[in-house]
Amino acid sequence: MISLINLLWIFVVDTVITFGNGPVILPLLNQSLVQQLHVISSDQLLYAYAIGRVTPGQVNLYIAAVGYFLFGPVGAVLSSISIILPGFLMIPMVAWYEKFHKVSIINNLIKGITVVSIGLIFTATVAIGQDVLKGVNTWIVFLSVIVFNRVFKINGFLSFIAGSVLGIAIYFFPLHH
Amino acid sequence: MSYGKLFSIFLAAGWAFGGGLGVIFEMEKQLVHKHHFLSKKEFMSLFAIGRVVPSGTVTAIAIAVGYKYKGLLGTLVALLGVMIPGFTITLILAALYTVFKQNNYFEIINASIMPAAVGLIFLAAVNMGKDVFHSPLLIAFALAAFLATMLGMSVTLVIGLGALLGIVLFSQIKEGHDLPY
Repeated sequence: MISLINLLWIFVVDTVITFGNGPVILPLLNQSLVQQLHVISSDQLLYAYAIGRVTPGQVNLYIAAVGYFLFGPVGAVLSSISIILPGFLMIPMVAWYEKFHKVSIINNLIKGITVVSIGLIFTATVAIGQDVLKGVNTWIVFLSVIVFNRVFKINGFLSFIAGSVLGIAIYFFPLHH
Repeated sequence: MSYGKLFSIFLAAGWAFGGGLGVIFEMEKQLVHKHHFLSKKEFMSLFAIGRVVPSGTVTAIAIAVGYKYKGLLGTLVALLGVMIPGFTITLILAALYTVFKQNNYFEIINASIMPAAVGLIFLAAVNMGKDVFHSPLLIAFALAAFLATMLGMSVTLVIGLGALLGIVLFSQIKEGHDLPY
């Protein structure tokens, strides 16, 4: 069990320490909500992330879906508010930037977070992937998305759509019986 | 700029696909090229500052532009505009999860968008690594973060160590050179 206040606090903290980067928040939510508190399944987290990618707008809005799973529409609204609140730091920071033209220390800090985030997201891929990648067909879909993006240079959104369509096709017309 | 204009500009940006960069690209199109509210240079410095605001760049730019033209109420109008499309569709699809879960459709979901989404998560790491993968040292740190969390180390702790590493390691970085799309 988790209280609404507790959930919103997790969202605020996770947003702040990852600088609001949607994919980087994923390993944190997987650790806290899925593995430690068991309040959502990795299925739900992955589904939320998937819809965050297919809907317009910024990716980290998938947190609204997580809020919805736990506390309904009210949870979704408050979750969205929790991830934008830290953004109001922008107002003093614009003033600071106009005066000093400098944000470099924070830039370096973010660069460091980016380096370790690559490892963290791979860990999340393994943790979430082992629940979903069962059997050859799901592996084909998983790998196809990577090939569409990395080899054929199709953007992430369209690679995701193409991989999903391939998955549906294989589901209805199996490769083997 | 009127409240209506502010709202419609950010609503258009909120309808853009392709995640944060897609939205920012549309913001630039609307604010700089179509309506000339900001110069390219002004927009780029907002982008540079927005990147270091702990909320994501999209939110930060919406707040800055809303505040610049209409004060605090302006920030709310801009935020509403940029979030309403994504929020509404996310809410509908999240509600459908329960519906899917109760019948056979979820088999199709499990065979299609779920493994595809795992692919996207993997790609997020790979694409973030574009700059990192040039340096064996940085690859080693990314690998260490992977192994440490696989072995059960706290994700939060690793992010903290990463921040520290960044401050120590990257003493100099060029700012706001170009927009990354």
